[in-house]
Amino acid sequence: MIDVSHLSKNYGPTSSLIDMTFRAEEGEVLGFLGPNGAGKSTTMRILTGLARPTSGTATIAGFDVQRDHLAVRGILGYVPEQTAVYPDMTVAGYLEFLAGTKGIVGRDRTREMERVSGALNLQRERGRLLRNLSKGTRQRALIAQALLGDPKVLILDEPTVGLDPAQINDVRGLIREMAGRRTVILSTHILSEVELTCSRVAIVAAGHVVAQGTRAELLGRAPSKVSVTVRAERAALEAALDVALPNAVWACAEGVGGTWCASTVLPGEQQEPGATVGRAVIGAGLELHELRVDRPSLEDVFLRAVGRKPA
Amino acid sequence: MSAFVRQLRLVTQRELGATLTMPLYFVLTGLFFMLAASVFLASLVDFAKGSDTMSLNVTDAVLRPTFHTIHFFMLVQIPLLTMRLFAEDRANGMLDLLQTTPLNDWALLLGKYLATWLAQVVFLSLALLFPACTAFLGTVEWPIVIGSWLALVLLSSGYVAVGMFFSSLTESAVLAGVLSYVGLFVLAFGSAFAGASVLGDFARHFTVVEHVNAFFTGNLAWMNLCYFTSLTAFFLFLTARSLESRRWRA
Repeated sequence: MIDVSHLSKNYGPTSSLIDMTFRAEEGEVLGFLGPNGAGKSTTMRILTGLARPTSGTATIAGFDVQRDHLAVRGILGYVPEQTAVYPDMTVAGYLEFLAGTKGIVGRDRTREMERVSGALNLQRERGRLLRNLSKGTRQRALIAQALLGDPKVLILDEPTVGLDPAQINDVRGLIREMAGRRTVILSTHILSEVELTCSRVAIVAAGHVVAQGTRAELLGRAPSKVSVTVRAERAALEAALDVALPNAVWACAEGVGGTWCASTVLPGEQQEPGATVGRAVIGAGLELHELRVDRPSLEDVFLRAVGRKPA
Repeated sequence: MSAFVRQLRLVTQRELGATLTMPLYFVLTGLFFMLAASVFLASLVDFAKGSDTMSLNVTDAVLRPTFHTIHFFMLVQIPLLTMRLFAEDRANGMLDLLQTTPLNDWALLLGKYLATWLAQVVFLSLALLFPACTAFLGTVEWPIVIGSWLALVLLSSGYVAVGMFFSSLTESAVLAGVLSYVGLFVLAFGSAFAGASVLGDFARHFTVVEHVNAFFTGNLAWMNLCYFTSLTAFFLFLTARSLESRRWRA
């Protein structure tokens, strides 16, 4: 549905995007996750036709976003990073105007306005001027306009900025509901937002995608830490661990009460490391005190991917 | 109704609503109408006293100076109305949002232009009260009056297009206003600074005041009509290019 291939964008000598490549399948909610300045908004602007790439291509539903930008605009709903509203209009006037720009007229317009106002809890504010409303309500109006006409593709650039926790929860629920029916790209730097709403994640850093996959795939590829504590001689423990995981490098330390503790970091490809170590220790007749497998969180995966150390 | 016409009407309605609910519009219209009325009354009193012995009729003595004054007021008023047209939309992100919808760029700019121009025509329509009042006092030369009024209407069209173009260049409404003032004053009175050379003659052909004076004497020459419509069309085209260039410059 959305195919971004080798996209680059230079601003003079500075490169904002370098060989950006990713896909979002139909009905998928793709989390576009990255720190500030990673190139998320530039990518969103290119996808919406607001900026041209220096090289590379991007297509939405088979339409090239540069060459066929009018066709793309017809199937796109966009929530920009900035709260783009006309302060001198009422919420209803604003939605009516934007419905008109999308060619939604007559009864369809009335029905669509009812639908999106209901989805974003805007019924009570419909007659109020946008300049008199809180940032959260203006943001909800902005999200509502993107839903007008039930677009096939939604591009949401930091959509929950300025919302209170209850409103954030509502918007996340709304995004989750869209899964399967619309293709959504959610650009954000909020990890929990991605974990709660997205079926797949693309992690962006320094202008390109550094990791992508489902949450399970990303976590599965990340290293996990295994530590085991036994009451036994150090040599016996090391021998048992060598049998279990011959390629692992273990760090051993003496514990309290005649125990020894060994720990190692295993690559993500290692299947069920806890069970393997447990079987080896018990099989060697050692007294097992503790066995712990620390799996990485999405935050760890994200921090490693963008080149920072997890705390 | 074609999609383009529907979009044009949509944008015109929105912008007309925004302009006509703007306190600045009413303040400027009221202020400049009162100032024009003062000039009109002062000229009328002078004419009645017979102090302006050079003028043979009420049109030359009273209405022409009034229309010249209104022309000057337009130069002051129009940048204040046009400076926000695109600059504000750029600053608050609306221009980005609109350019991701199927809205045609030409429908957007023509809608904004028409709404602002119509608001200006409302102000100019008030100016017709002056010849209407004068008609009770003496013989008004209507071809000259109509010519002068049409000149103002056509001029306002060109001036709105110029102001809108400068508004499309920046997201600062104040900067857009300053650029519009500089642009309009050069366009209106540039020939005053042109010397007696080939370049000076060339500059005079492009200066508004040379063409508007012909209208104010009742001369509705095609060349002058073409000048005013070309002025509008040229700056509308530049605005369209400016909007389009946002994509390839961004």
